[in-house]
Amino acid sequence: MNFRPPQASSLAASIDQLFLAMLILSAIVVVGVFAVMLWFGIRYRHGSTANRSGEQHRHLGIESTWVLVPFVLFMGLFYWSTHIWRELRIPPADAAPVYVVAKQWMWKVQHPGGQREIDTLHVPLGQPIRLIMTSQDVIHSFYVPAFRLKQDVLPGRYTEMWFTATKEGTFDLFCAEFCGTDHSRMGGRVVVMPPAEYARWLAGHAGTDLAAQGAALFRQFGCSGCHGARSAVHAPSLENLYGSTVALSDGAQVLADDRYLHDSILLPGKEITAGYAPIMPSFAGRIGEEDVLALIEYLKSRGAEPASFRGKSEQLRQTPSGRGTLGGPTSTSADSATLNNVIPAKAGIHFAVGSVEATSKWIPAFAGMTPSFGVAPNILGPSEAEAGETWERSSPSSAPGFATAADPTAHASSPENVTHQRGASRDTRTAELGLGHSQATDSGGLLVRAGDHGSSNTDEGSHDRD
Amino acid sequence: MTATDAAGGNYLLAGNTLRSWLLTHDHKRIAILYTAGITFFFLCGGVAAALIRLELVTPAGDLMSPETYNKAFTFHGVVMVWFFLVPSIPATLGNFLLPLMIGARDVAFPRLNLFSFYLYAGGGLFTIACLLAGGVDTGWTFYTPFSTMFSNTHVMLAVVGVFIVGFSSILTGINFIVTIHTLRTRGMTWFRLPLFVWSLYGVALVMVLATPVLAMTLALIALERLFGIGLFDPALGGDPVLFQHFFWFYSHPAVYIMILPAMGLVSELITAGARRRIFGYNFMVYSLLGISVVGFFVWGHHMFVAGQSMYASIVFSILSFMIGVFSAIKVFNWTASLYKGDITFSAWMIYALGFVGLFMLGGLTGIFVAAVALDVGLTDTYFVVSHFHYIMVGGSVMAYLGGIHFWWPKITGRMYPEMWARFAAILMFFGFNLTFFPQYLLGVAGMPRRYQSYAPQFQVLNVLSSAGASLLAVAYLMPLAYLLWSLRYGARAGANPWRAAGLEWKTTSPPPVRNFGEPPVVEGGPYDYPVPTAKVRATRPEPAGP
Repeated sequence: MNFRPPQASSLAASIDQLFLAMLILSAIVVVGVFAVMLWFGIRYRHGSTANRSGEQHRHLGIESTWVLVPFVLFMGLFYWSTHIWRELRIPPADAAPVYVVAKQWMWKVQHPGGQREIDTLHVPLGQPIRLIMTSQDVIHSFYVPAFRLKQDVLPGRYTEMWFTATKEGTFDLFCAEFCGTDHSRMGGRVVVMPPAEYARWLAGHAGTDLAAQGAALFRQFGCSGCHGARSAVHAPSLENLYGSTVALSDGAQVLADDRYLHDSILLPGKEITAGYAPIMPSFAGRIGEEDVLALIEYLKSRGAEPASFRGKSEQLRQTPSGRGTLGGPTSTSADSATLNNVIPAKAGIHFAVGSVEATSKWIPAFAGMTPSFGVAPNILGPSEAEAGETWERSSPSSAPGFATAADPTAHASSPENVTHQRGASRDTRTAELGLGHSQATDSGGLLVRAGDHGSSNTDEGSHDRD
Repeated sequence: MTATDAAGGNYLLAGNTLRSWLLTHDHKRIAILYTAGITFFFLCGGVAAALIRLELVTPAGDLMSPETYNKAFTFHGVVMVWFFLVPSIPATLGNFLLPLMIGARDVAFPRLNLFSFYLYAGGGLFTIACLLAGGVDTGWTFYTPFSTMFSNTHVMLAVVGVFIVGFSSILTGINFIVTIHTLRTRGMTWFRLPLFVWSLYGVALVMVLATPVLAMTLALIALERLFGIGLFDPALGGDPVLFQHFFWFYSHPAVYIMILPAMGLVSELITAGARRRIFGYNFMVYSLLGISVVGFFVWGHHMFVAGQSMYASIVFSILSFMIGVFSAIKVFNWTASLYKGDITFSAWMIYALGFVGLFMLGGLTGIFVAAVALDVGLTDTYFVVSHFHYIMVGGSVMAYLGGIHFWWPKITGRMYPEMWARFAAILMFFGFNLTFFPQYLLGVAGMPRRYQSYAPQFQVLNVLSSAGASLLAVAYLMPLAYLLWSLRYGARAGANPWRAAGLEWKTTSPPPVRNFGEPPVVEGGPYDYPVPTAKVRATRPEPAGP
């Protein structure tokens, strides 16, 4: 009986090797100690005639041995584990970003091309994917056992996790950090598809791309009233802001990354740009995390003149900006070429743009990304704007506010991969979840926003049944 | 008899009124009050555990509502950690034995000792009130912002209860430190202290230094809930991960509060059971202190995926491996102490050997989760649940029960029924493994913790675990029954029924109020068992049975 879920990510095999090594080592220790205990227990049991003579002398040699041997072994294991850990934390430069917003009790996924899903994440086989995640309420944790990966998802912060799926199929997604009443039902699935099929899926579900959504929000929330070019209000310009260094009124310098933009929208009093009055109202409670992501994507697009942005990133690489510099970029042009080959034109645009922009937060160097820039001029191309916003649900029949991974027809490549079904009666309970901060009704609202919801669900269904 | 009378007479007979118990300054009576308290809370926490295991027999969450389940595991955690495990060995056996083992009349501050018991009881009342009011659903870890902004349950009551019981720990810790420094009898040098006393010293230091951080953290939760000060609330610019740093800065050392006394206690049991000096006394002392000190610097290993810096995780990882080295020393030394021993397998020795085995399994899986790359997959799954139950239940509870059996004749003056006790000990060992070993496999299979309903592929292992839990429940209830029985019907015990070394065996069973007629003088090390020869063994009588 094999308890281990399948190895479905590029790092799963090396993690499992370490696991196996430690398992064998532990087994040797356990069997050894038990054998010795048993042997002593029998040989020196009360009443036995075993020879017990001889002084109990000092035994520095023996003890030093069993201090040093575990020490050396542990240091070896530590080195091995840390080696994997670095790989695990530092995404390749060509990793394509996908945004995840966690809420009590669902996972909302936004692709840069505007494709949206709930409790399901579609990813292509063999392509590094970088999840940029935040939470609308409490702490959640994005856990895919088949990938051997987990990352807590925090409110008010972006955390990241990257992987390359190496196995086709449908895999369990769990929330691993206790998050309230329906924690154990905050599940979903990750669907790994061959690149061509994934490209078709993206094309079939494209909505307004994220940056264009952001542009609309920018006007809707009146941001342009102050930050617009012709505004009479003295407000910082947002042109070329993303990735630049901002001087603050307290004399500090801060990198205008995702976090900075996020906080400037929701906590505008926290970091005041030098030379400006702290007059911006907070949008906390008025703009949800998904919309903040869209706004950031829009702001990125305003600073994403390929040449100048690239220059910024080169400069940023010199800046010691915290984490992410240990291993350096691992991108190769081969990776990027693969990206462009596997993702057909329309989808490829979003991919390339998103990855370049968002990557700068982590690895602000993407020289190897040049091929992707070949398609970048279409960044703001609103050609697919008519598609509207669509949230894909993993199970069209689920009640609003709570999605299950229970799609009985979901394709699975092996028996362990079958997404689990939970009691159907559960779903109806959502309506009763009277917790003060419950977001349960929120998703209903978002669903109403959906444009061609029905038709895209049908599309998705057909993919799943492939 | 005259020496006993001069020292105040049998402490159990020194007054039969309720008042003479509730207002006693005698460390031995206070220890018994604590024993009653922790037994009560152990049963409460056990009922919650039984409900949890019953719910998890089926994948669907069909026994209780999700809210109730969340409250059940929170209650289980809060009660077992703060009202059972933290006070278990130090406040009961530690309180009883510390003055006896160092040849003192009492602890340094007897009134403070009684006061700390009432703090414990007061904290317990709040916790029970919290349960009766409807419970709390945050998990024993009280993670923000869930506990501060989102939970609509009785977080304040629970927090106040734990806050109060924390002061009980601090006072006990201060009392122990001062007692060990000032009240050792003539000849009882530091390196003649029994390892149990050393472990109480280490644990007292941890209690005094770490528990205030818990109190502060809980106070901040209360302030955040009441006034919304925004320390942990991201909407106000706060940081929820800051809470985790504060919380684990206490709660990781708290793990050592739970396991260190068990390590010391088992050293006493193994030496007495093997009639052999402890192997490598100095290394045992240093590794114990090493764990106490390094234990303060590993809290971040609870947060490898919580969003802390990659480098912080690397540092916390290597420090956690260090704890593994210290623990390895202990396991090897306990095993080596059996060499050329004269081993009897009394119930308490079975508990002690069981402790070594289970602690070893818990410690080795601790190495798995100290390795960051593995922890990323395993943290917050049943692997971690199983790991800390192996340490806390397999380790601390086995040691605690072993100690209760070993010193039962000293505490009560009665022998327990040996055969029943052996049976319970063995049943507990197997029941424990059947309960918790499948949970390792569940974690490896990917089942997250704190799940009320789960995917069907996890069911077989959950059923095994619940089956084990029912065996474990029987095994825990048995000592409760036969030990109570022995209070009345057990054979009377002599001063030293196990022929064990140690000052506590030099006085009568039960000891007189002031412990010793004359202050004893110590002339040798703590485990001076005669080197057994073939001739000696014939003269050794069997331990007195019931």
